[in-house]
Amino acid sequence: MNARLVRAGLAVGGVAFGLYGYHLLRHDLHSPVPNAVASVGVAWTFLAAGIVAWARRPESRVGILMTFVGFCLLERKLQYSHQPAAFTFGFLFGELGITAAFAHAVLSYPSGRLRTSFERRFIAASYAVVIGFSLALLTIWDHRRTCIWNDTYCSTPRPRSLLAIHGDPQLFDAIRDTYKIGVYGVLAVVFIGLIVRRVVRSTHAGRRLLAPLMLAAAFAATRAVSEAILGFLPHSHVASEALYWWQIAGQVAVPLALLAGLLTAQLARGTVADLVVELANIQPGEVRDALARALNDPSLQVAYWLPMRQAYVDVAGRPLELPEDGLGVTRLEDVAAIVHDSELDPDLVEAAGAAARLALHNARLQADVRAQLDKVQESRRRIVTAGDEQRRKIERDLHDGAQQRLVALALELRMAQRQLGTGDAELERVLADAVGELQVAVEELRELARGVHPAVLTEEGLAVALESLATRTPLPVEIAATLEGRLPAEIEAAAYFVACEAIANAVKHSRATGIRVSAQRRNGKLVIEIEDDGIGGAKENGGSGLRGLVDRVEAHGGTLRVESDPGRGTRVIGELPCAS
Amino acid sequence: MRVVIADDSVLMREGVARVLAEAGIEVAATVGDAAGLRRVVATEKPDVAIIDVRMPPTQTDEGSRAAEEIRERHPQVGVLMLSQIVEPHTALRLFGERPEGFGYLLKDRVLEIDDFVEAVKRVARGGTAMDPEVVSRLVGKPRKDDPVDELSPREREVLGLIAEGRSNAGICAKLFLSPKTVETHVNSIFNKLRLAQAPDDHRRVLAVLAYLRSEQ
Repeated sequence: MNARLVRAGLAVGGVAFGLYGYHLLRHDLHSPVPNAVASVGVAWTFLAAGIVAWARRPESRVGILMTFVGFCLLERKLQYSHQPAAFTFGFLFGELGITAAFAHAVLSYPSGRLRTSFERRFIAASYAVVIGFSLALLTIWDHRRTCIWNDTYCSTPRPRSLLAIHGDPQLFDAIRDTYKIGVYGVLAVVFIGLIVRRVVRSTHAGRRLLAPLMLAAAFAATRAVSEAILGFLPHSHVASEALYWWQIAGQVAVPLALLAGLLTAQLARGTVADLVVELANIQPGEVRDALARALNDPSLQVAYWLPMRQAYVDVAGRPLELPEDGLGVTRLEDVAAIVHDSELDPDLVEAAGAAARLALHNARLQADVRAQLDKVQESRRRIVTAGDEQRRKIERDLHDGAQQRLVALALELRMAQRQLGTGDAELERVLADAVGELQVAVEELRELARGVHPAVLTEEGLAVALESLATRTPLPVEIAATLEGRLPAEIEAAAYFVACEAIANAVKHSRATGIRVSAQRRNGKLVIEIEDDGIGGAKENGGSGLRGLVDRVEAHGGTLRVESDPGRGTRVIGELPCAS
Repeated sequence: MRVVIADDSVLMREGVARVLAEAGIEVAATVGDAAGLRRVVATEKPDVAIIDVRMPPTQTDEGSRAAEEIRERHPQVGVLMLSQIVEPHTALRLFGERPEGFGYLLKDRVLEIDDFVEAVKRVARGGTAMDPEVVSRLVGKPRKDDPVDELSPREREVLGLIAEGRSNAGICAKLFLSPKTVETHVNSIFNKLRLAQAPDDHRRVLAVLAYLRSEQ
């Protein structure tokens, strides 16, 4: 209610101010009617666009800034007054509306806040430079000799500057030329540069939103050309007249474009309402897509915040780094961050984020669980792989250590036995028995090592290890292993032990007459199948060693299932991912 | 007859050297790794090189690879591989198509000194020495409709000895049978397995192994 009154007051004041400005333009500056109308029209356009934007998008400060620019442009008319006080005041702030305040309103679009510290320093410097120069000019204003604007104006008595210290028309001209180059040459180029940078860095979607800024850049360019270049060159009246009207057109177009941009974003807010409806029935994985659609930014990303890990992850729980710069990041307290095109209105993104808060919360929980699951899965895989490595090492140590020594010892005894000849039958028998015992021990050790981890698997690979297994099985085993090259050791080991266990079960329980083992690569997976023609009825969890193998297979991201209907044989199918 | 021995276990290679020395075989050199083996084979030109499959530095198949190289470069040198484990597949691969002057035995076979010395001599003569464990697993492998099942126990025994690489004379000595009886068994085996009689011992081993490795 209060803001409304303020806006109404500003509107009324602006109209009155404009009419007074028109009076000054016509009677004190002796401006032609079209120019006077255009000049006041530009100010009113800014004012009107600003007040409308302020009313419709109160959370964006661009409306207020545009209103401010409008008043600056009206205030500028006071410098044409012949009253010393009005002239001094009008001259001091007259330039702001077409320089610093204008740039401020444009660069802070769409939120009304400047985005980088460079932009903030640039705008502050612009205000300081513009007012500083005006102040300097007022101190050396000589109301008798200094003549600016047009000849008709100069022919009537000119107002005194209330701030005049020492009149000096030559110095005045010199400072004014420096000002033109400094502001229209340097600051305008930086301003255009900043806009070009934003356009270049933006995505396709963002560029649409930047149309008002591009227009403003074009306006600034025209102004810079007319002031900083044509001011110092001889040029035709026609050329400066044409440039004048281009500037007027630009100055009218910029506020209208800014207003249109802000109101379009307002329309986009409608899609936030749609978003709420849409979010009611979507999966956690689709929240990003819904947000991307609602905000019209296909590149949009959602990073979920995991307080436990103090890190951001994607919806699948994979760690994610927030971009340092270039992209906009809108943080939604404790839940997620939305990474989006930096040109998107942050308020709009925040509104969309707030609407999606519950869905984002759910997705975050899911991402959290996935991230933990990934960690568990990873450690499970490491444990199994480390176990395999240990088994291989034990197997090697048994063969190269204990077994080797036992054979060498037995050989010593054998030699001793032979050297005794037939001298002592009793001693010879004892030695022969000892050698026999050692042979049994070596044989048992060999079996033990093979059970721990068969050397043939390490040395020759899965296919040969399966063939070897077949020659040790008391049932006919048909092997169909079409594997080219070696697979990762842990995958081969998992497949081998699955086959071992399945064959052992078939031999013990199935009453089968034959077993068929196939191992092949299919779609990036190693598929191992063990099939018997026995009585069936085996259970995956039935206390057999298969339970442990399920763990082993799943640790490598694979699956193991058992098909065993009574009377129809048993089929064990293991699938293990292996990059091919 | 001269041999060289390569084994990284000092106990083992000295033990084998003593066994052979007492059997009247000259041990020209004993070495502890594959590089040393290659060197002494080239310098000593032995009749047989006795090689441990696993040797430094990798402790995997250094010995096998050295053996293959020796068979390639020095075809006149017999090669007898000793291993802590024997696998039929590995055995057949090492034999390849050339069983002449080649042996593949478990290390424990050294303990049966007479059989071991006989195997070394056989390899030195260009014969074959296949480990009984490999043979028994090949012979004993269950097959569907297996003609091996038609063999009498004695015939299976003889089949195994043929597969080990023994000559008829060797089989006679091992089983205490007369040459005539052994010959009868051999003929019967070849008939039952529907194999053509081989003209010499090398090809006889090949034919039997080829038969045993096939699935059916």
